Amino acid sequence: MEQPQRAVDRRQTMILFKDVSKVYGNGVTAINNLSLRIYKDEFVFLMGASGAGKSTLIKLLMKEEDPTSGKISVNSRDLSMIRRGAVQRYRRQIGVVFQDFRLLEHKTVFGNVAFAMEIMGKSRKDINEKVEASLSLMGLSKKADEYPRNLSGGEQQRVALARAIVNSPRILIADEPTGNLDPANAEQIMYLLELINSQGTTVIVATHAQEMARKMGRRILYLDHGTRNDNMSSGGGGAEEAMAAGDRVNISSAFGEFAANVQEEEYSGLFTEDNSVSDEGGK
Amino acid sequence: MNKLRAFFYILKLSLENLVKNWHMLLASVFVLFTGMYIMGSLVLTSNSISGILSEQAEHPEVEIICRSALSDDDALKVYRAILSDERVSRAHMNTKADNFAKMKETFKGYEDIFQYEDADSNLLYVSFDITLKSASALENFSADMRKVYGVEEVQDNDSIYKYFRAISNFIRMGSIVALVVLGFLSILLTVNTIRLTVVARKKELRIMRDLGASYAFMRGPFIAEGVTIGLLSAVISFFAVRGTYNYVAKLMQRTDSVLRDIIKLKPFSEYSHGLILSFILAGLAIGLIASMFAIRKYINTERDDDK
Repeated sequence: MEQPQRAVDRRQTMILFKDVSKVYGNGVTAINNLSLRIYKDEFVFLMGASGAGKSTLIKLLMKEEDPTSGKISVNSRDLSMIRRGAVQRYRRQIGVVFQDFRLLEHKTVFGNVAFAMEIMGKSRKDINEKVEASLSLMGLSKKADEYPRNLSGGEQQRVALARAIVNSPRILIADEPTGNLDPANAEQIMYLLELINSQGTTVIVATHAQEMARKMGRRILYLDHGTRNDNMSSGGGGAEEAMAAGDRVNISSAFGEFAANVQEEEYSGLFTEDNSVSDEGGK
Repeated sequence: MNKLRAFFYILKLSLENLVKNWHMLLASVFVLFTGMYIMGSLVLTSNSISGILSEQAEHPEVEIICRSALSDDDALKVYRAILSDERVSRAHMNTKADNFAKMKETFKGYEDIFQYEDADSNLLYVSFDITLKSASALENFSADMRKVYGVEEVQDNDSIYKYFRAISNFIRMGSIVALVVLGFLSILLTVNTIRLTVVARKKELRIMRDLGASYAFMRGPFIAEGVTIGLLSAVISFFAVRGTYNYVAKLMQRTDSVLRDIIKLKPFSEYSHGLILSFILAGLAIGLIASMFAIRKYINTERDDDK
């Protein structure tokens, strides 16, 4: 009798949750026996109603919280084995942007982006080069000397994105990145996230913008009361299968003029030097 | 190289914070300075009194004054009695003429009072300056001497030294209490100053944490801030205590009081090294403790496994 041929997925796993649960001190179960796998270079949307567990999942990934049970590994590294002193070094592999941008009001656009490198003790030359490239990619070169209060919401989020990628992270987590933006700015941000992903960064976007997520044609993971809802999650046979590139909408053409202005070669340049943040954090 | 750059960056951030919160910096430095100044003054006062007491303990001195009517022979008998006493280490006899000369010296500029016809050395008395072998013998020796024929008065300053001893003990106790109270107050105020900066920079800290800044890097500016407050207070306190000490020493020199002979303050240079070192160590300790307390809640909240 002929055995059914099983497709062997040879892609490298970046994030793996295995039977993960998180119960907070007040008894609330935020994540309930969740298992999922996100591949290297993948772009994944994380969706679900408020309280579904998206934020907790991000906190677990950032190692702000530890799971009550189960295992989480990132880039083949068991997070439970990361010592306290190494947590910050681990975080350097992850870029993060938030709905409220979290920019420093007293620093200029350049200063905000440079801050991410300054805290790691990078050289001024290195900082200048990378920050300029990062701002140029985000279309913010002319705004380098502006303060956040003088920028639109979309521009502020682009600054946050520039800061998140300036250290060339392996993973980029965006928590409701378009929540405070109008549709045009939201599309710009999504385009930039797509661009960042195209250079090899795994991108996870937690969002309520269902229509936009579907439009982008990337895998969507639905969370419902801390567990995965496979009936709603997209990606063919299940969450562990990403959509083929050909199935996607051509995002560049969808985002029109803004996309045309972005110089992709500069973005590539940002990553050619050192696309992997070492565990030693640039030491 | 990264570490060196990070060090200077931390230093820059801490200085920026201090300039930004200059009013709180002043408040902290003032409180810490007050604490150190009071402590420093108490310690120096206590040390000076201890110096006087130890001087007295090493060389207990007694002055015996004879009656002015006492004949020279009787005065010599008293002198022999003193010299034969085993408790006596040294004794010096001041004749009436010696004491008259001393008196003239004391009243230099007021020679008119010696113009009277009968103003001569016979008005005065024979006295003895005696150094005893041990301070413990002082009380009994004085009592015995008072019984000797021809002795008018025995001045052993014992009551004064008892008074000094009481003050010294009081200051010692006070210093300990002050150390605890002022130390606690200083830490409390410095904690609050730094905590204000921490709260003001809470957002920045959160961003730093998300970006992967090391805990040392996040704590660094606040610790540097605490240490700067401590060191600044130490230096200011040192100069303030020095100024006060020198001023008091000058006052003591000028005074005509008997205290001038008893209280001989040592030059400040004898204390300066110990004092500045103590102030710096205290400033560093208070700054470090205060900054660690201030940031503990905000930077050390994560429950990371320490495996």
